[in-house]
Amino acid sequence: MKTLKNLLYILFSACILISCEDPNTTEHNGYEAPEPPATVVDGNLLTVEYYSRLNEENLFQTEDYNAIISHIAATSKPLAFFFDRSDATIGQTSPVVNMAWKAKMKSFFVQNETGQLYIQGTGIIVRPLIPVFDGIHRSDSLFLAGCTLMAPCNQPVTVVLSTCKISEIYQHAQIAEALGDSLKTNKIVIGTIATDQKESFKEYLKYHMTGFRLAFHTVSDIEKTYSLFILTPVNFVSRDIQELSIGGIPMYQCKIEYLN
Amino acid sequence: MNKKMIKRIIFPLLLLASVFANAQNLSVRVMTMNIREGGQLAGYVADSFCTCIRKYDPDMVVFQEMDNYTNRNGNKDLVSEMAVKLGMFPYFGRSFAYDGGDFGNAILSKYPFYNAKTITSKPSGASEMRGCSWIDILLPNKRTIRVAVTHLDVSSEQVRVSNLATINASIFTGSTLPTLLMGDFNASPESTTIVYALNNWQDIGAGTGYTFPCTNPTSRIDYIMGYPKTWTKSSYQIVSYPKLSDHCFVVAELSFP
Repeated sequence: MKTLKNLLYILFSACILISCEDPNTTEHNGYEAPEPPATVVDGNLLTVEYYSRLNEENLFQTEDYNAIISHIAATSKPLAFFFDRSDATIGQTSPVVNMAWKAKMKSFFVQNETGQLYIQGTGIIVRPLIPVFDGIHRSDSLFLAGCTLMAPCNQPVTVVLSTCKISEIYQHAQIAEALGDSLKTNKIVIGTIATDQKESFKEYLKYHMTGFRLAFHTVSDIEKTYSLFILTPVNFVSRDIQELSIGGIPMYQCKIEYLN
Repeated sequence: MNKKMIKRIIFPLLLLASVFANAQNLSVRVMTMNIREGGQLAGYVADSFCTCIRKYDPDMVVFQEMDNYTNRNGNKDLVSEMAVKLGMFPYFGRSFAYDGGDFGNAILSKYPFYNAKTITSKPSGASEMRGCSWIDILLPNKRTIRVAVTHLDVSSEQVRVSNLATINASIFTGSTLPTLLMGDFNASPESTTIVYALNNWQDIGAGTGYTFPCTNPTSRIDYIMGYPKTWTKSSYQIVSYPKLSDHCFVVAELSFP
């Protein structure tokens, strides 16, 4: 009788324990994207050029961007050009507006902060007219915005090429919350992240988002305190990041493949 | 007065001061310019418009009848050129392809914008496609504003009301931002178009003077509309530059609580 009582007690306790388990914490091992195909389909590669010093310095010390103007005006392959820390001074000519005008393209600016006179941010230059520049901000601590573009893949694909800068841990949750399901609409985020936050960002997304791929590019240089990150929906994959320099300004040529 | 008393007085005062500091009014100086056929009267020269704009130092300028790389304007991106010269951020919204380039509305903003959109519509009976473009700006005092521009169709009241209905349906979707809609409405204050507009919008310049034609104006067709209807104006000027346009321009200093 005593054995039966003990058995019932154990069974009852087990039932309570099982029913109290939080499915999110015990069974959820985090999201892992499936392996992309081994073969790269060249016709489905999008090229994006990301100019960055990967640190806290302004990209342009003076108007030292003539070589970039010549380069972007002459090259037709990249879908968009990003200029990390192409900061703006209110009332003065923005380097990115100037470059775009001289190269006969259109410019956008994704601020990283609000400021009275001086605003840190990332410029975007694109070739076509953009009916939708899609942006969000969370208070004045996170800005994420980008252009809706038609990518000339084997079959044209609409993508939203966005950018943001991650400097603080609290931004990880803001990004996941701000993106929500929007990656599903072919939103690609290319930006910079403080290198010491790469792992925590990866871990955060793993447990708070699904259907994505995250790639980093870090340069072994003590002065480069930031890394490049590429966050794509699962139907895209970052295939290659090449380090180049245009007119002395470091540029990362990113090739992202659309997976049918 | 002991320390406790001082704390009881000072702390609430500091708190009140910080509340006021964070709840600053949204104040902007805006300008609307119909530049007629892409700036034809000014010879499509950006400097002519820049000289005029500098005089008023607006936070945002909206343009109607802007050309983008057309043959007639000498294959220029006029709004970007003005942005470079004025130190502002440009956005061009295409209404339709025209003369080897594009024709539509444009916006210049002293501050960067984090969102921008252009919509177009051509209701039955319309003479051509008409557009509405807007940008969202987080101002330095952390207040947010949506600034929009449109140029309603010239053909009939019915078409203009339809244009406006399309604008309303898009511009208010998912947004509660204080909004200014500026431009050439091709309609007088007593028209069906403006009566319809006033269902949602506040005619901030109500009771001010005529805006068209530029010399001896006889009608008011250029407007600054506000949403919600709690905007106040500290100044509202109708200025005439016959060498730049056949329309008067409107410059206003506006606040939103």
